Amino acid sequence: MNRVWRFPFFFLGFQDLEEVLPPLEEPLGGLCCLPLEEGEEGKPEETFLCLPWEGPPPGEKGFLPVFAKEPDRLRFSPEEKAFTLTLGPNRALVSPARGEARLHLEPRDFQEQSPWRKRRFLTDLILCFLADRIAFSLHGSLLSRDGLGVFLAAPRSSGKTTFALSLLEEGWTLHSDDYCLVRSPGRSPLVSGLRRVVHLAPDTAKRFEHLVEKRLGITNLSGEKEGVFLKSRGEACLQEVQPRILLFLEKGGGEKSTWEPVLVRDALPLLLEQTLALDTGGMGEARFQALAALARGARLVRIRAGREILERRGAAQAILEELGNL
Amino acid sequence: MMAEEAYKAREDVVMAELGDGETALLDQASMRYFTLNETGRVIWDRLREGASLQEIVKALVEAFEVTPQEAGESAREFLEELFMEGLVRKV
Repeated sequence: MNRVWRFPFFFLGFQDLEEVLPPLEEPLGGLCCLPLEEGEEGKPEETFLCLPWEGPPPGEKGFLPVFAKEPDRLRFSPEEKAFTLTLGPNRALVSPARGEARLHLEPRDFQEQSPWRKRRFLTDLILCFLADRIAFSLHGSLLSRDGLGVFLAAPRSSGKTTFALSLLEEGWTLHSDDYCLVRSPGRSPLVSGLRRVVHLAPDTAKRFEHLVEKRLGITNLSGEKEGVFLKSRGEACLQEVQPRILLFLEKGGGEKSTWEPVLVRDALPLLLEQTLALDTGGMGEARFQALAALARGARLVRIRAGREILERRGAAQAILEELGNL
Repeated sequence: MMAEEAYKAREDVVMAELGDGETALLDQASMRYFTLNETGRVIWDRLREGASLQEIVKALVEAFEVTPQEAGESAREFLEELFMEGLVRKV
């Protein structure tokens, strides 16, 4: 095995990939993971392998799309209990139950395409591993301070990143601003970061310039936002947090910020909107119950605040203080 | 809907507890979302095992202070609704 990467709660080993996959400048190029220290080993039962590609899966039929918006990129075969992931000429057959993935990667494709392509493929590969086994992804920002976890869910262009970075300025730890992982080892689900890259729109990038450690260029699929690494992230992305507050930021807030409590029954559909399709190999109910437990165990609040408000220094902190419990 | 018919909850309809006696159902095929009260939950639990109307009425009479007639009317109405929404199938 050539390389082992440490994730919040498992290890992923890439085998014999040095030739086709040149080392990434950053650990898995933006995923929330770190290489193991020399001499440190992942526990075997928590270690997944990636192996060279041996051909397409037999009997490709009855697939279910699991990426709601990109059904052709990732397909699940109930018969094989495996995923086929594609990105351009690159393919992977992922068997979470066996803990292995068979890869076919075209190094030239990765070299000629923009850096996000390799990151995107590897991020999706990790999602495949996690899809049915130990965790699932949830779109949103995860922050914590003094042991208090806050998860922020919001539709596109509603100011989620602005809200999260505003809290970072006030001393909060930002674990993830994009995708998070949810798992339920006990009664209360734990959430951790999945991607280390934060995508910023041009105006947000200017406002929070002082928080940026490194600019990565355009890295999101729609091509209008720039990926950056933030300063002082450390291993925050590897920590698991139990969110005590779930915030649902609404689009189009006015000049004054307002908030109202949300019932669990109303929060659950909002959380569902932030997950991938549920039914991957019969694990839908476990995911649904984990989301319900997440909502039951937290204070649920809907917030409306215009971007002009959120961009003011301390605005997000002031909103949280107004809620109390801080 | 005939009284002797049995019904079963569809396998791809998943369930989660919301607290305060409420339960949520999600039809994964259509991604439609429903909530149940305590009575609905008792019925749904029976339907997951594939129960007849008679068995559902018995469960309701045991769980709540209702007569078999009241339970039968409520259950029949609820089953009709579940069937219309495609959440249960006849067995």
